[in-house]
Amino acid sequence: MTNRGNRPHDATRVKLGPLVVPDWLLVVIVCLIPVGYMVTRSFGRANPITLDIELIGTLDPYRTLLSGIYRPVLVRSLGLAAVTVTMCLLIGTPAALALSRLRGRSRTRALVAVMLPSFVSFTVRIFAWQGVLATGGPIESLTGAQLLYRPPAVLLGMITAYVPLFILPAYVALARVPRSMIEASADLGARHWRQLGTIVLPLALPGLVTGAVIVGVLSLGEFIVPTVLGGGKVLLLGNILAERGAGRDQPLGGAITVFMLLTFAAGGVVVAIFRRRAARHA
Amino acid sequence: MQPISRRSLFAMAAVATPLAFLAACGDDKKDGASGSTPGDTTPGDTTTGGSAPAAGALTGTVNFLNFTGWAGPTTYADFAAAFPGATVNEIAFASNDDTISKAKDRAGDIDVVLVDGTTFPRLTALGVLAELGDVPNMSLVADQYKGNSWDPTNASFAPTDHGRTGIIYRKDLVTTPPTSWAEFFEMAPEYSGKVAMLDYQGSVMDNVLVMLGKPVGSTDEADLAAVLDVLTTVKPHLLAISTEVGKAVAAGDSVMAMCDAYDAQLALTTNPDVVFVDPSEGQVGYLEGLAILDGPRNALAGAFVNFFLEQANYAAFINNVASPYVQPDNPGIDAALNASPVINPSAGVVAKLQYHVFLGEDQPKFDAVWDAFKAA
Amino acid sequence: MRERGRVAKAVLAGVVLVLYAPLVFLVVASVNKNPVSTDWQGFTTQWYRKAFDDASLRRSVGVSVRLAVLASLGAVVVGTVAAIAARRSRLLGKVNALFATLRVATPEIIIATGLAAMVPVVGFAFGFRPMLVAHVAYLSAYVLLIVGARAAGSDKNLEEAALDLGASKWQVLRDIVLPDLRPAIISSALLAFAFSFDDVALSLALRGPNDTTVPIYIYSAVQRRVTPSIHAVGALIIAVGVATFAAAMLIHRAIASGEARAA
Repeated sequence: MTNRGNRPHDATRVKLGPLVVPDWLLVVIVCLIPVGYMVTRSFGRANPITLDIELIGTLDPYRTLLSGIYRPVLVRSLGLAAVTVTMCLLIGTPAALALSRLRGRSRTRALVAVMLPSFVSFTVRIFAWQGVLATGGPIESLTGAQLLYRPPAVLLGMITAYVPLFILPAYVALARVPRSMIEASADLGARHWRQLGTIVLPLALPGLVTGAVIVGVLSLGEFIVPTVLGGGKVLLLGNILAERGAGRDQPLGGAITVFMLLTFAAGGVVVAIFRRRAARHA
Repeated sequence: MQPISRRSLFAMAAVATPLAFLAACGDDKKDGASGSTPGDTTPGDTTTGGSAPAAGALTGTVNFLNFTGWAGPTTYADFAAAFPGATVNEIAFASNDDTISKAKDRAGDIDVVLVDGTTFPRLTALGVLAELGDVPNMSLVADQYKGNSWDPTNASFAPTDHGRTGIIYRKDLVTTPPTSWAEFFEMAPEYSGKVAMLDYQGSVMDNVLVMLGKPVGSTDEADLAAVLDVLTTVKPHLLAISTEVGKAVAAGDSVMAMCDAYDAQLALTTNPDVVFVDPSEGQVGYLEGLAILDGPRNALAGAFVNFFLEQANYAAFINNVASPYVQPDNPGIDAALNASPVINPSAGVVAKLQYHVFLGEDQPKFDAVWDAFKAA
Repeated sequence: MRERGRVAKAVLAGVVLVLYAPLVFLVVASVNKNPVSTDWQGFTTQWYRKAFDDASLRRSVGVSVRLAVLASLGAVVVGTVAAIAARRSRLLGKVNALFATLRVATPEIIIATGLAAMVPVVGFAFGFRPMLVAHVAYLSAYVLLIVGARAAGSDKNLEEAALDLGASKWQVLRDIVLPDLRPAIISSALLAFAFSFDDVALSLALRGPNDTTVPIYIYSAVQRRVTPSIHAVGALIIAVGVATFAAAMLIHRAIASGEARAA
């Protein structure tokens, strides 16, 4: 964000630098190597009986992924992630803002209220929604609306699953916006919405972007919510990965990995450009 | 302000350490089961047959990969009581592919697995199966469940239970009850948006093949195209493609569904308006059984398999899970289950029952049709 | 000015409502005689008795708690150390951010599958240790993102002033840097705990015979619906979640009150 001049680097840096090593080591062993391994699988052929992979340098898994059957799968998966991110921005940002404006005990209480459900198994919460929305369940009994296995059920499930993950980093960022700056702009006569748009949100942007990235990435692989609450009528990348991509169809799983990584890389570039622009304007 | 950060670390550690310690202790008890607490259960009512071999060799822990709870309520404790020094550790089954990857080279240290005709041939191909050895209680299993295509000599597969896919509907919400697969698919438009389909590709595709009069597990291109046509035609009328169709029909979200017997049984015990139908064309199901993965505890594993099939234990298992069973003459099975056409199907139904099998090299063709249906 | 934030507050209230609806349902369903809870058939505690009698379930709770506690502690230590180490270096910070994003961006199941295929190749056995290492490695990314964001925005002047006044580097770290990062550290620890407790993919791929966690137990149980006590299990999971959260809050409060006294 703001550039703080060219002060000399502080003395602690030199000594602490090597402390990144444990984390990087873990990244390499537990992330880069397995992911690289999965990428190599995408050029192979699976023995569906034993799960052994024969590396024959084929591009067939990619052809399969881009063929007519799977194109809607790609589009729907991207669509679900986009909808989820949008929803989190629209719902999570005001919620985080409200949180950041609370003071003292009520802030702690509200923060607890938002984070607490995330401590309860995701799968359990999603299955519980099924009961809430089913015919004979509380919603249908009270309103007569049959929502289960229909789009609103999926949206509710996605909010349950992802909005808290967005709110947390967004709140941390918003809470860091100095109150003095908000008050100063108010003194200068800036209206509430203008203040938000020109001061608060731009300053909190890195936190919002972090939240959006976390949500976007996780929801691109999501399949439990659409399966349990949406009736499983659509096939998503997550379904293929979970059902066969990790097992008897690792080549296709590898190709999906490459596709996802490319999508995230593209998203990363967009975010970087966006951030740089925001920084210039700030 | 000075001591705070250090204190916070200590506080964290103070809470975390006892928690981890407690959890670790709970774990140790089961790890060291061979030595610890043999007096917990009095081995007074040993119910095994007279053929219990020398107990000396039969100690240690049987690692049993199974659907969580897919056993009698006290099967594992009873086994530990009957074989002092032996215990059962249930490993929660996750998926067939997971079973395969954990069975390879004994990577998961599994001794006994619950498998069906789709996974068993893959284990055979991996060369990880041991023979059952002497299992006297195999004689209690009816002949029609033995000599299966994947284990013709009954050397390594001890059948435990079976299941089949049929139709369930709500008699209060459907005017003319479906009696065949053909009627089920014909009626779908009439109840558009209220029909549910099972989310098991083998069950669904094989049963459509049965309806079309084609061989089960066919990977003939024309046959698969016909299956895909049936499925994509019905798709717009589906409310859900789900593994929980029984619940959906019992609740009334759906009025008619393709459904497995065990799920149907639960649905009709919770709602008396639910009816299960065995389609007139015949149907495809599964036959599950126990198999031993070759390893250091084959003898103990064999004793466990025998114990599981022992009359009283087997009845307790079936009464607990309410599944169609393979010991038709077992006197311990609840009268209600015995009288239920869902759990105890007629000879005519059983005669028309076929089993889904793994298609080996051709499996991807089947997978592709299913994906095309789901993605449509 | 009184009106400001009313919309935001309403949204927050709505979110809280949506978050709690399934939890309330679960608790009510867990004492409903109807095992699938499609309607109310009377009060019972039988599902709880069944759940408590289930030895597999009891053990899986132990495994899950042990895993989540150790994994979140490990992730917080590794992630925070890396975030502090990199906070004054653009290069290290960028690499950290890249590595963290990479981990978060890769679907867990990909990592899980790759790891599961590699563990036997390297000669390790499936079991608790590989599970724990994988959890720490995966979750430290979230710590790095949250703590790193806070560290990047921290006030350099204060530290430099302290150094100028003769404070040692350790003192600066302990008295200025860590207290500033504390909210982020605690938040990320809570998040890491929740994710670890909830994880299916990594645990499933790497587990040994004694490592059935609660989510794996549920995953297996729902496949055959043999556990009518599933709502009770869910309600018990709520209890575990609330208990751990409460423990964390108590620590937080203890620290805060200590701070107030010291100030």
